[in-house]
Amino acid sequence: MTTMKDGPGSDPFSDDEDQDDGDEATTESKSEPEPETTETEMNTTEKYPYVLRRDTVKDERDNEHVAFLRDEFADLEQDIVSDVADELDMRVKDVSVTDIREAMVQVASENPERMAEVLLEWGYDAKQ
Amino acid sequence: MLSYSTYSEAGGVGKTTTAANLAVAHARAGLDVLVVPLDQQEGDLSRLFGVDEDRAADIDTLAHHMIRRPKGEFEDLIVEAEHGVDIIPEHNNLGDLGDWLDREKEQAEAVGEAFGVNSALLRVLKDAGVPEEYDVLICDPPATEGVHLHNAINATRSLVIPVEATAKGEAAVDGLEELVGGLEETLSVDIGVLAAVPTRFEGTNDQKEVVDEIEYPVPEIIRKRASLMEGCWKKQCSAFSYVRDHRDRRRDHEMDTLAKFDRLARFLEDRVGIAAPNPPEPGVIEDKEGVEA
Repeated sequence: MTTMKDGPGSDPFSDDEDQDDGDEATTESKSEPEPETTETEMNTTEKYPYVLRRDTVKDERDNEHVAFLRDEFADLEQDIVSDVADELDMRVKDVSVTDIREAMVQVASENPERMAEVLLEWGYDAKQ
Repeated sequence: MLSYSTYSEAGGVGKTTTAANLAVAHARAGLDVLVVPLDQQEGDLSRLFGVDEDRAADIDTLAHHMIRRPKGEFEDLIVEAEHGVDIIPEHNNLGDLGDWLDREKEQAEAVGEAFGVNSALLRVLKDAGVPEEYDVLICDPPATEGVHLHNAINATRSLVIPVEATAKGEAAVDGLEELVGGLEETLSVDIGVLAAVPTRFEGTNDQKEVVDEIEYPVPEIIRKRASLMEGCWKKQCSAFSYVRDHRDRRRDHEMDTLAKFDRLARFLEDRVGIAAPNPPEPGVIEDKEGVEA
């Protein structure tokens, strides 16, 4: 479980002491060569739910996605984790941010209309 | 400017050797690197780079600048180590830095002025124009909580975390979360993690599991290279220099370790959008006569 942001912190040498405008924060990073971990066993039987059958949080998760985010969205992740932990009546440190990021994809896939609304709010023109 | 502190809650996980070898990896790719270690002790980064002969001398030091009583110019604090890496050598008075800063704060407040004990280093570096002069700033603070750590983190805001790939190491990363969370509040800054670097890795299944649980990027895993690292301390140099100058032949696994530091440096540079001018083929070093191996 993480509470520390993945990615560079605020710029200590910027003129205003607040965060820089236009900072990009990645939620996952690109790594060039594969890390050396390999032989963790993958239990691919569908018997048990994913969280119970896996050995580690990266089991079966071979796809790294980089997300480029504006500041307000990079900061939101901490709130999301904390709100979801409340819903589950769990401690924040016990809720995996990696699980949250995958769940976000599922929720988005179930709500295409709301997704479209958000893009329109940001300035997408429906007639494009 | 890429700025980070190598930080680990536990000692003995290769924090200092990681900082030193990363500094060289950045520098040998053509970047201007400044290292500001704050962990004065027997086995500190200044000793590793062989620049600690004045650690007890009565000279101008970083600590003097941090309490606004410099005895000379900031530029004169800087010593050039191997591969063009600039470093401000650790002085024994870093042990008194906490007291010095507290006293300066008292004196400032007595005349109605503010003095931030945790932002002293940042101020010194800012006033000296370090972001304009350097591409990379690396701080190596001590593992213990205190004013050295606060100053390092406040001046760099990003962390590279060497991690022992054991359950104890994993617990250390968790403990780090709480520590850093507290620091973010104390310092009112955002701290980010650029990478976790498992060190002394021996490839056991337990270790692989621990590494897999780390929820930060793990771009490289440094294997246990006791002989190489011991040699570095003995000859007071980086792994790059040691392999180049003190090994009679090139060993594949040691070249592989150098390659990892090179790739790790590229990864960190890439995270903040810096392109090194002359990145070498990872792990390839010239031999003593300047010919590539």
